[in-house]
Amino acid sequence: MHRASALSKVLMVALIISAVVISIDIPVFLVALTFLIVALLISDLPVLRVLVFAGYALVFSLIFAISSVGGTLSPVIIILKAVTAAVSLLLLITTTPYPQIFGLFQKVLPMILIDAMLVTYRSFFIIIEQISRLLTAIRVRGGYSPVKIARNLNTMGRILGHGFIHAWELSENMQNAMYVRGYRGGLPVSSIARPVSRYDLLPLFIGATVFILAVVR
Amino acid sequence: MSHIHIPDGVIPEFWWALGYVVTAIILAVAFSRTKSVDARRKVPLLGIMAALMLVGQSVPLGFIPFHLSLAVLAGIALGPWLGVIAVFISNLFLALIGHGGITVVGLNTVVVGSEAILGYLLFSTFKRHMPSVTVAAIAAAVLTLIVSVSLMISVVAVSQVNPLEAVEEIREVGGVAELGRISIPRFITIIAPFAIVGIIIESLAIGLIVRFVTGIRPEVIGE
Repeated sequence: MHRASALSKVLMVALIISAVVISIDIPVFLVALTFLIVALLISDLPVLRVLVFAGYALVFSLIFAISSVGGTLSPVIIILKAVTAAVSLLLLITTTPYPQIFGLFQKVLPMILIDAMLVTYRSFFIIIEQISRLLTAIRVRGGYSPVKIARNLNTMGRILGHGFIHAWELSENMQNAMYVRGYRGGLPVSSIARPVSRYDLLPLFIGATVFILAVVR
Repeated sequence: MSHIHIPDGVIPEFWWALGYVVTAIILAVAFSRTKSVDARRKVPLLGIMAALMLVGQSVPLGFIPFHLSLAVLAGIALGPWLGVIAVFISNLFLALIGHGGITVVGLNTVVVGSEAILGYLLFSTFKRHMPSVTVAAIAAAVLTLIVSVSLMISVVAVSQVNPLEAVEEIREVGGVAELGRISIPRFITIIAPFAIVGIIIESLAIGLIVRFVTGIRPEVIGE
């Protein structure tokens, strides 16, 4: 899957999500999940770790699943819809560099939006690492106490505030660097896109099979 | 906080398509309100604010199926229009990791984007009349989040009726039957306690962040 182009994998996800939208048939979701898990396995990805992320979608879908008990849509279907869509998207992002996905979006979304998305992707890891370091430092220095809620809240406010200031300064530095390098809008992303090849057959096969199954059943 | 975590295929196509249309209109207005040179200059700020929101939205509050959204903070710091764009970016990223359906990104942008717009407007008004910016930020956040959670519940409730089928039903039986996919009273019962706790935590967090920021970089929030 890593060698397939972003286009074929985005098409696969679009077909699977279309199947998720139109189908209320449990076997369709089970077939889709089987295909997706096999694709994760042959891509040499840590399947369990990827599925943990999908568990996040599962937890949040539970609210809607519980609310749907006795309704026309069974809770199991709601959970399967959430998990199938989540796993297909996770397969896409774990096998495709984000810039390649943005390269496709570039054709339909404004340039400034794509640039901001690239900055978001890059900054997310910087901010999360900085905040987690800060949290560790606070814990090591005894700034966190399970019983002192008011103090914890105050500390949390300082951590988040510090993270916010750091993010703001990061944006100012980045703005200056981009200005110096002659940024006039439009970061180059499409030039690194992987070309269409025989490796695209697998994602296209998965997407088409699941979609046809959803339509036929 | 009012991010709709509804999976793909639960809301009728009409509603999520409408969500995308409304989002496209809001984004078009947002881009037209932000001068092109100004927007280009603010690309890093926009991206980093979206990343900060993404960090907040990626961490559930313990066992509570709610998380900080920081959309009110984005509205206060970036202004309403850039705030809405940041909300759209963070929603799109969340959908790409399976957090909320990709089909509901439009509806989520409308609901969470309302936090950025309303949060900015209320904070701008309150800070002129309240004793401190911290109190103004907390008050603005509480009111904004109550409105956005109500909006989120309304979206889920309204989406129980499929307008495309309703026209046919009115013609045939003279009335509209609900899809009955989700019990709204039960949905409200489940989320109400989480929403109350979530509103308190998020409002306090925003107040504390604003207090910290005004002490160090007051110009960031227009002080």
